[in-house]
Amino acid sequence: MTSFIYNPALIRQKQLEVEFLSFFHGHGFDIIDLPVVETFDWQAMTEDDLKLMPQRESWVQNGTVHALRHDWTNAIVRYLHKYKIDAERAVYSGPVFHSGSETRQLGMEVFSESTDRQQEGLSLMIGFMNERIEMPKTAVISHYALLPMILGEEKVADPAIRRALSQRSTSALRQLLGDHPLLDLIGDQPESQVHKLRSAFPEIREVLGELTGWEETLREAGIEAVYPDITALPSQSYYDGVFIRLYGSGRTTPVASGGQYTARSKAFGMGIFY
Amino acid sequence: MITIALSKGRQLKDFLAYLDENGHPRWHGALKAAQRELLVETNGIRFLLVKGDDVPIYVEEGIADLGITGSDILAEYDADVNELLELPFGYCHFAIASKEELPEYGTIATKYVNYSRSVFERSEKPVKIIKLNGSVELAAVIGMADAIVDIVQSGETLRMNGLKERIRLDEISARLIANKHAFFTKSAEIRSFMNELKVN
Repeated sequence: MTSFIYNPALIRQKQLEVEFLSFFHGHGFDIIDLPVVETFDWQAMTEDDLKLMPQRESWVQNGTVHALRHDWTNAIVRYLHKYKIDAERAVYSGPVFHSGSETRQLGMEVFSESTDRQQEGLSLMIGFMNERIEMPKTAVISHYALLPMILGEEKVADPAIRRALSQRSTSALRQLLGDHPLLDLIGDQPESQVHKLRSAFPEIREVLGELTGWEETLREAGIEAVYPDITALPSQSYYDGVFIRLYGSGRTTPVASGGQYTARSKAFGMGIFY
Repeated sequence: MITIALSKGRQLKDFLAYLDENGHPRWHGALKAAQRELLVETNGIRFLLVKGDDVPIYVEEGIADLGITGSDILAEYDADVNELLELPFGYCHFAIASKEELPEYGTIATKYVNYSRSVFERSEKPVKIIKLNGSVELAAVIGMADAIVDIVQSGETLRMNGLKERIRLDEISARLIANKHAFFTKSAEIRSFMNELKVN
């Protein structure tokens, strides 16, 4: 029986969860929980639900689709489509399941359209990571309103263009977009792209201002290098603003990620994977 | 220091020829001088010489910042990498080849299972696909499969085994791929390498 085996790693993991929840609760966040098994109605599945389904652990029982939780923010967005959450700021921990494997997520959501309140949540998140896990060294930041404004909704919806954008393929984009100014921009280093965007597309100044504000929050929180990603595409349609990926030293996959989304109202959520 | 994974074999020869023609004597010299070495360092670049199929894995895992591999490998393996550039070498194409021309090919032998599946799905024909890791031509010669799906450059291997190309499929060329994180953190070195390659 495994219950008799003392497993220090497991104890540390449980302690970390308690510390995380206590830390954010101490800053006024409500602790929430949601079922690990999610239920889907065949008739009411959205495009987002269908897109994610191949990566989910799912089964059909009594004519209803069930799936294990894939991502906390996704679960919260689905919950918000049906029910109201009274909390203005919430924190959670628990397992998520992707393509046959289990990881755990520690996360927080700020259900407020106030950028200050959202950025405060981000700073707390980085502060907790620095104290208890590992200080992220780099961040990649994008804004999902940028590409539709630069290319137009129609082009952004084109599957071939979407693939080329997600691949950052200069060759493919040149074939698909011709002499579009975006091509010159992605040939530059990420650090200088925002500056050039500002002069090439004056109409997106406001969005770039938001991006710069979040970049400053990341730097003030101690992130050494912040890279803008102007060709990022959202994985789910509810993400409609800033999106941030945080990386630890020497890591090539994010240790935390999250961003602004709309579900019932504007919100910001971020999760740590551990 | 930037690390670049290169496919050994035919594609390395094509890359060397490209370097030779486009004025990169130091890279060309260092790579050409490598006998059995799998790691070659020259002028701030570390080249890893690996099996073609493994190039996307080295890049995805962040062991290499960049990689040069064929679009055939990228079509087969769903690697989570950035496919930055189409490179002007390593040209060949996918093809269906067989001993006899048949109205339909019900059994296909190939190394490229995922790619073949997508081809036959496009043509709306059910087929049995047999995965082989090498000497694929033999499967069609001895009747294990009606046809093979493989890459064809000159067609010489097919001819030598009594097979004929029946349907020409997608074109293949070398691609420059990047690790999704290194694309940002090593952007200066990556862009410098891209500029040095002089691909229009």
